[in-house]
Order: sequence, then structure tokens, then C-alpha cells
Amino acid sequence: MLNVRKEGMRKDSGDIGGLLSMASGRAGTGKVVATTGIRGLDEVELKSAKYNETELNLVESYAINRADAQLFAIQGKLVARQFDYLPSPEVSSK
Amino acid sequence: MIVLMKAIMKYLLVAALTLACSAAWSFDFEEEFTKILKDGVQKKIEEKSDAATSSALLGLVGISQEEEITIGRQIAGNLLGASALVKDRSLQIYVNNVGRWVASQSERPDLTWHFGVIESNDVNAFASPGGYIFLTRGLYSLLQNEAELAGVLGHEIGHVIRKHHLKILQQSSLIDLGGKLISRQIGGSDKVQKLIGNGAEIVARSLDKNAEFEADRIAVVLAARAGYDAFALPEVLQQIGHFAKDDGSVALLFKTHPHPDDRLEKLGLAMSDRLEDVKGKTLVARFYRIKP
Repeated sequence: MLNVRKEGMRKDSGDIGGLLSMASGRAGTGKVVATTGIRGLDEVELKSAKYNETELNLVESYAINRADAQLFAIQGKLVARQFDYLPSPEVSSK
Repeated sequence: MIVLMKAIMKYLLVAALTLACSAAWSFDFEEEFTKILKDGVQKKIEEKSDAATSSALLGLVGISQEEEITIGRQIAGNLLGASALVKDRSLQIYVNNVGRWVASQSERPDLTWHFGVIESNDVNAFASPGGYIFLTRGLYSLLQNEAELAGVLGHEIGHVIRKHHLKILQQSSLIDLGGKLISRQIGGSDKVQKLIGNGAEIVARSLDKNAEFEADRIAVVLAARAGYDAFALPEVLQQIGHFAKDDGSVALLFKTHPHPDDRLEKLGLAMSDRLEDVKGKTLVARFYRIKP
């Protein structure tokens, strides 16, 4: 679908060009088309939404504890590492 | 004697009135002082969007975790009233595994996090206080690998750990006095509902742009900490940026978020070369493909 992958980005990294090169140019190309058949979710629907206890209980039943998430990570050979949060560009440039 | 009694009564009346006025003034002063303090804190947060600073300052006017979860649970229940979960248990478990692993890299690893994919073709994701996070079927369908899912969930986790939606609620008059008032008033879902407005409208409100940029920065870091490719979220943003502006499936997302191009620009400035050498996994093979 889209061919600008991180190899292209990293060539330009070190300045903002890397990620900016991924930008659409704001107008949007219309390349991505959503599938149809299921309704959207707009402000009106969100405002008029009624509490659904059954669905809430269902999502809560899927909760994973920290130890199981760790096992899931090990299965994917994911290794946690330390990394500091990135400062806001505005704050860090002051 | 009667004259003396009248004089004493008059004195007592004046004294009582003075005390009453003093108490009222004291209450007004306390209320005003709280408001000034809160306004000052909010102003400070807006002046400096640095993550650690905003977190520390929010703590001053913060509410308890129990209260946060009560509010978040109500919002999540309402959101699920608008769009139900995709009925695919394997998908939901998978998303919870990824989300829980990413959230474990945050400063709130022990919160009981909940993640869900909801039935909507809109491209969007929502965070509710207390660790309730949802993304739409439409957004999930765009994702190409597990790292991209981690990046999307990381953005929403960022909103939760920085309490961005609670900040919106705190700015409303409903919880003007902060946590103590909430703890006294919360006694059932009706009262919590009054607090959060209509339905799940709170998740349709625009956050401050800086809150969105901050959530993007948090997302790439949490993904990197979790061992994922940190550049996956930018790739999702790139895809979203290619939607036509008038495409209805991104209407709410584009209305409530800065344009993906702006987000990519800000992320580029923040990431600079900091994440260039951090290798991470995309886990394409393990990525759960959603059923049509």
C-alpha cells in the first residue's frame, strides 16, 4: 500500500526530513479507502451513547496481568530496555 | 433589667451575625483560593508541556486512582454502548497482551489496563481514564504488524498516564474543587454520568494539541522500551495522512487531532537521532489479522 518504510526514513534522520518525508502533503492522496458495511462513530453517536454493562464486563474479562504479558513478550523475543521520555522540542530548545 | 436584657440580646445578635459573615467569607475565600491555585497550576502546565512537569503538577489537583477508574469505567461503558466489541476473543486477548506489555513499560505498570477493538469502520482510537483503551476495527485493519499496534496503543496509554482527559474534566465546573468533592459525590453511575457529560462525549472532545504531541512522544518511547520498532507509529501516521480530507471515516479523528503531517513533523523534531540506533521488532508474523 505504502512504500515509504523506515529504511528511507533513517537515511534522512538526524533532522526533521526523515519523518517529514512521510507526510502526505496535508491534502491526502485518498490512497487509503476504508472498507464499508459497518457504521462509523461520530460525535452525535458518542453523545447519545448509553452505558453497556455487558460489553464492559466482557472487555474487563479479557484483562491480562503483568506476568502473563511478560510471557507474551518472551514468546515474541521482545526484550524490555531503558529509554528516557523524549522532551518536547519546544521545551528542549529553550 | 429589661433594658439590660435587650442590650445583651442585641450584643449576642450582632456577635452571631459577625460570626456568620466571617464563616461565609472564609468559605468564599477558601473556594476562591482553590480556584486561583488550580488556575495557576493549569496555566503552568500550558506554559510548559514537559511530561514530567505536567504529571507532577497534575498531582496537586489530582484525584485518587479509585476515583479515576470509576470515571473511566463509566466512560468506557458508554463508549461500548455506541460501538460494541468485535466478537473475536482471540483478537481481544491478543490486543490485551500487546497493550499490557507496552503499558508495563510506563510509570503505571500496575494499573489494571483494559484494551478492546470496537465495531466501527471509522479510523480512531480512544482512551478513558483509569486504563480503558479502545481502537476501532477500521484503524486495526490498517495496521501491518504488532509494532504498529504497540505504537497506536502507546499513544492512548500516553493519554492515560498523563491524565489528559481528567484534565479536561477538571477544567469543567462539575469538578471544580477537585478530588475531595468527587469522592463525596460519587455514589453511583448516575452521579458519575453527571460528571462526564452526555454519553461518551468526553472522548470526542479535542485535547490540547500539545497533549497529542506528548502522547506521540510517549508512544514511540514505550514501544522502544517494550522492544518494538519505534518507527512503527510514524508509519501508521503516514497511512492515516493519506486519507482524503473529506473521507468520513477519518472525520472525527481529523477534527480532534492535529493533522498527521503536523504530528510527523513534531515527532521528527523530538526523535531527531535519539532512536536511530535503537533496533526493535515489528513481529509481522505474529500479528493477528482481523477477520473481515
